[in-house]
Amino acid sequence: MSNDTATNTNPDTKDELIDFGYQQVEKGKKEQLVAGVFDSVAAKYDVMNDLMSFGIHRIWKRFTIDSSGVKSGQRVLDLAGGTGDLAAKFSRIVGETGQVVLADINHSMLKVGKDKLINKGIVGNIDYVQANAESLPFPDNYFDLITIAFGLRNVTDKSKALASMFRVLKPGGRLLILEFSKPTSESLSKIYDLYSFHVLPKMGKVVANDSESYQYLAESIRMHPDQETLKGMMNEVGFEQTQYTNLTGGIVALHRGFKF
Amino acid sequence: MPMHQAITASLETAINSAISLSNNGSVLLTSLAGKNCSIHIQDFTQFPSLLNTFCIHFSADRVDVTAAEPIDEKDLHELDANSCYVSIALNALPELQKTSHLTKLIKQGKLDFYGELSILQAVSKLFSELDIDIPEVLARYIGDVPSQWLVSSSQKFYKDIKRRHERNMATLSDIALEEKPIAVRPIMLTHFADQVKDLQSDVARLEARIARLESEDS
Repeated sequence: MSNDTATNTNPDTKDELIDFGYQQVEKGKKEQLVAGVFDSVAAKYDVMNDLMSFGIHRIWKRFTIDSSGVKSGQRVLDLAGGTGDLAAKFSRIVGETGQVVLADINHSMLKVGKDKLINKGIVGNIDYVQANAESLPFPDNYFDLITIAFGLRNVTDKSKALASMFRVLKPGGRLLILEFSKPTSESLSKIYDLYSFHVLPKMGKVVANDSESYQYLAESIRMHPDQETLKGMMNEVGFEQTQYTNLTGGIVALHRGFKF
Repeated sequence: MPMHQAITASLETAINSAISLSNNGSVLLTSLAGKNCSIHIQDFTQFPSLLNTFCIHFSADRVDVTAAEPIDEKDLHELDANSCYVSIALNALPELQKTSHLTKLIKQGKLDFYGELSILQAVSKLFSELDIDIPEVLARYIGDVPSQWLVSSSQKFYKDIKRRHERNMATLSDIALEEKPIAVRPIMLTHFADQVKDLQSDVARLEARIARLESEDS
């Protein structure tokens, strides 16, 4: 299953405009632009995550794992899995009889993730797949759990991606979406804006020598659907018992939905 | 609750650090690889904000600790061969370290257990038999001589504190029992309990006698 590649060339949507941060770009070009951002940040991704979030992203990811209810022997898809933080944990939890698929559309990120997990000795029950969330190259009703952490906002057609996830999820399976969201308090929102638009790009410039990618990060977070909108989108494609939990005052939210 | 995740992260770091610093951690983990053990702290059940159930997942060279929901009674009876579930009072938690005490704790009702007992025994063995050579570990960071000095000073300090504590407790006990008798000795308490029992039986006999006399009158 390793290294399958899926593309999402869709001629019908070629001239439609879509947001790329605060810019409007042709729908077909967003994937390429996002790929450029992640090619640029892949090598410093983990360091920057720790710096930008003061390490709190580890707690958010733990919360996601704790909410997964995953058991030994189950099959997990870690979508947009990047450098494999969630996949590493899931691999140990599902054990030898289970399977984890680490999927990412970006080859650079997938390579960093694969190297990191192999260096940690995590092998055997983990596969690496370069795949587009909008057209997942897996059979119907295949996974017990799908997680997508800090990846959905970069997907061009989010509804299509959610529908694709719904298709490959087993009945009874659950989807967890960990993503930046809208702070619940006005004062926190102001501090957060100040931090994201003034501190983050400078941090990116100093550490990763790339301020533009981190400017995009801040903008893409603002353009991402808020908690209720995303919940509605999940319901639309068929997820049930959808709910979300705000973390760190809504800076991040974990959405959960089941397929029955 | 992100606080739960902070607790499990700390617990996981502490256990993994102990395993990596020990001489026999990986050997003790061998029999546990691929298994998991959920631990429910009974005292915290009424306080949902406290972490009352967590699960330790064992791998060949480390553990992962996750916060978990309490498991339904029905599911507890269907645990697979790689899982075990322990419900225990907080004060009995240190007893888990003693493998030989497990059966006694189950019989005493201090420990509810489901799943594979061998997993719990191996977990107990892991935590009780981890062999950490503290002077050697410290020597890696500060050198042999300071490490030995630090360890022997700590041991002396601990012994000194323990001796002072025992002496203070003895003095306090002496004052409370002898000089200012504000406390009672265990023997006095036992004697008082015996007297209460005697009184109880006297009252019971008297009641029986009154009842008999009443029945004779009528």
